[in-house]
Amino acid sequence: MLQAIIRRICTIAILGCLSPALAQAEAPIKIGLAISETGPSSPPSLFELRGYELAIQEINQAGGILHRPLELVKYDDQGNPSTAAQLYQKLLTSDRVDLMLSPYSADLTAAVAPIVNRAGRVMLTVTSASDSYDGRYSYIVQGITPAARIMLPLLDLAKSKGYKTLSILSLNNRLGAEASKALTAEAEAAGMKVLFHETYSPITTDFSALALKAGEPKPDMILGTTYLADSQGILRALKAQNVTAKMIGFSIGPIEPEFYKGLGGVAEDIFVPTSYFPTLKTNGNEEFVKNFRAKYDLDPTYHAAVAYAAVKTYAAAIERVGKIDQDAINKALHDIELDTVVGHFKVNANGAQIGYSAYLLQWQKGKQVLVWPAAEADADPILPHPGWQ
Amino acid sequence: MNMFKLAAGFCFVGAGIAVAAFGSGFVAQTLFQIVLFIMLAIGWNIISGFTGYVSFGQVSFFGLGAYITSIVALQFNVPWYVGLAAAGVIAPVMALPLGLIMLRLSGIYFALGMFGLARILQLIASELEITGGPMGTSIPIADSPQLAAVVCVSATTLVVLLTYALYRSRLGLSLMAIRDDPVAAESIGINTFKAKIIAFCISAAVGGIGGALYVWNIGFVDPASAFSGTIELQCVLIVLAGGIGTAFGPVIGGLIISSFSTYLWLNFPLEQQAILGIVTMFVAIVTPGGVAGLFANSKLWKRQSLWRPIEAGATLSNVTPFRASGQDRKPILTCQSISVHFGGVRAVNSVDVTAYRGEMLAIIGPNGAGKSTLFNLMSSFLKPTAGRVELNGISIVGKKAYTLPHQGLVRTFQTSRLFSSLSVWENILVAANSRYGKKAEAIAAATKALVDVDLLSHWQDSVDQLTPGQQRLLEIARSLVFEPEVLLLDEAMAGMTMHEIGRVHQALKRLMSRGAAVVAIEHVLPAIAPLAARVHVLDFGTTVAEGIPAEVMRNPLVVEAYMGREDAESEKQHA
Repeated sequence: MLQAIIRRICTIAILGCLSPALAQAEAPIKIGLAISETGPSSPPSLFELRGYELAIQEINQAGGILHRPLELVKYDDQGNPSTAAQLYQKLLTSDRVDLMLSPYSADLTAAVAPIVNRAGRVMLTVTSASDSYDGRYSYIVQGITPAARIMLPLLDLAKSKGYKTLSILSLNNRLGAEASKALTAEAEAAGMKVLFHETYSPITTDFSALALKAGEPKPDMILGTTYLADSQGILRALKAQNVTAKMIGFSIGPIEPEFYKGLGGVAEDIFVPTSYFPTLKTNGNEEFVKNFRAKYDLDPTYHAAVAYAAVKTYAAAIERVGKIDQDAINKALHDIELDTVVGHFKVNANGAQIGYSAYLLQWQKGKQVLVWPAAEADADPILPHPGWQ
Repeated sequence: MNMFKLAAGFCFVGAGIAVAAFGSGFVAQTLFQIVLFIMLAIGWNIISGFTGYVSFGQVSFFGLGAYITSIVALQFNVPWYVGLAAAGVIAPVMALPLGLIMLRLSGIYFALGMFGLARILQLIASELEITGGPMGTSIPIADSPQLAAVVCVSATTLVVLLTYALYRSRLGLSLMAIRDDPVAAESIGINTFKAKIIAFCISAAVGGIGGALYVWNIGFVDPASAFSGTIELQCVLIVLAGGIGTAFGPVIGGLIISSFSTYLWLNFPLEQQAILGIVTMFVAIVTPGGVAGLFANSKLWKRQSLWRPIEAGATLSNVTPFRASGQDRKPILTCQSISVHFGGVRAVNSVDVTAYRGEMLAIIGPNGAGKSTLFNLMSSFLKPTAGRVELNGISIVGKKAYTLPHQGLVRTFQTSRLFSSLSVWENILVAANSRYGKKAEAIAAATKALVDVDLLSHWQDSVDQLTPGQQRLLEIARSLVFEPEVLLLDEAMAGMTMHEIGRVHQALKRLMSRGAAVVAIEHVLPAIAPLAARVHVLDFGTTVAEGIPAEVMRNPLVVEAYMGREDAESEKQHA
């Protein structure tokens, strides 16, 4: 404590003596966030963290931003919204960070957005639901494909195969509600019929009844707007109840390596939409994948990629502004168009992402394969689902 | 001294508001956290400390307040203070029906019931659309951390003043009496259920405002945080650390624990919960009375009695007798073929008893004869399985026990049931308050009752400083405050010195001379024999004999049953 005070006094003294430019060169730019390092959302959260850390490492190795190094200040929110809100209070008032990043999940972002926005701090997020980008927060900018668009590649593929009917299971949270609503609207617009749609609580663990009901009208597709644990639970229940359909797909969950590890062969042929894949020919992706593998011995998921792209986007915006000025950076983020590893970054006036798009993966023989859109695909989709062995 | 305290408090609050208003965002937020928990702890202390109903679900009201203010703000788009006020009004209104259900439970069942209530409310909040579902919803946030802190400090100051007023009020005294002994509180005419409901609703209002402040400050509400067990735990910890059931315990505990917890949060955010848990255990073991307990006997901290007796020599003439009573020998309390069965046990079996105005009826019988059960039937603490009980010709079967003192029937208990945390004076005063509407009347009646039993010089003492005999005298005095028409004394004179018995006799004679009936259970017959006009002998729940004392005591049945049994009883005890 005393040390910190002495250090602060010394810093002030030095600042007074030396030229401002030199002093600035020494002080790091602090980037703050809370993320779910523990709890059920930890697998995707940890990928985001890896993405942030890799980008910061690359930028610092290249001399930092405005000749200042970046420093990550992070806390574990354990997936709890009010913990996240308190941690962001702390980041803003006690840690006095310069830049904010979002916590994992749209729900936690919604919890921290009022505080961050009130403080007049920019926050570049990687969370999908729209209510943080509907115009009420002028400082919150989205760096990921919006929830309303993530399920659409599934419908595009289904259309091409002539599938007509679907059952939807949706998690009762922001992403689930919004993605399933958009999915229903788009399906109906395309002349398809939603035969069954049910919302389940985040604390649901037994999905047997839900699986049976979803399969009962014999739909062509069973689609879930899910996170990790629930997507696994639903898939186990579908197998246990021997419920099948021509196409089975979930959001988010099957992105994670944990999904396959936990389910094994059951995960085969399952579809998952994504906003990024390592084989994409996007700007800097080859180098990103190479560095990510070298640092973590893992393939980057889309969570890692959007996080990595967010820090790179910040860097571009700050270089353009030339100083740490929240309003100027905010304006730059709204104006900028940038090709990142995820795709073309561009937001509308409310800060909602309109540039990044969505792709479709399928688990084939223990590996994720990019199967849609056809132009970027690495392999053909395996359809229909062969049923449970 | 009082002016000094007032000035000190004023400066303290003023400083708090100044710091909140002009401090940095960080300072304002820290202050907000600390002060909010003081408020929540006070809310918990009202129901659990004052009233003795330990709750593990006070966070229910925090959550209700949080959601009320959120829904009001989102649906009606009103300014923040309307939302806060709505939480303060609607939370207690919603608490009313909940209290009607929950307060039928007591002890651990109440604690667990409240715990369950919080979980149920959390589930409801997760399911409804208007609440924003399981993952919560953003709501309008306070314009600045400073504003939130100023409002929080001001609101908490109001709540502290309100609690202090409650602590120094009739209601507060009744609540503490209920905490000490709910049955004795009923016996002196306190509608304990109503008093508890009021306390429950006040505590709900405080919790509700706390919840509303909390969500207004962060601009977000979700079920898991609104009904969080951690908030509950911290409130309990604060009250325990500060001193449960005291007026300022939660304030002191809050300043200490909240500051400590905020310090932990800022420096060890991940370890905070674990450290707080350990501190809770430590506090519970080391200082069961809390900080206030450590200084309980210092002059600054000692609880001062509510009001004070009239100075010696002043006139007590404004005390009115309970009712205009006649001198003629008329039946006043009659039991006809009264029976009560507990399963197969016939504790009282078809007994007829009548008490007459102006005389004493002694009820004797061996242990387990059903004497105290008969008293419970007469005072409506028990409902008879069959038979009638009439007071002044009106049936009292099924009436609430607390209504009977107001109709002229008062009882005492076999074992002493004084209110242990109240002073000698307050033990009387709480009964006098229940009997008389006006403060002056209550003080006069209480003073007179203390004089009657020679305890006026002990008025500031706590009851455990009295001898056992004095404690029994105090209990009788507590009954005499009502100037009852019927007084039921259950072995009231056991353990008294001859001098004390003389005092009681005097008081009873005076009561009877006004036309009141006294029904006395005694083991030691000489203690009442000189006063008893008639004796009623019970054994195995039935009447063995009745009549004037001399005749009854010669009755061979009585000698055989009563005395013989007594011998057998004592042999059993020796073995």
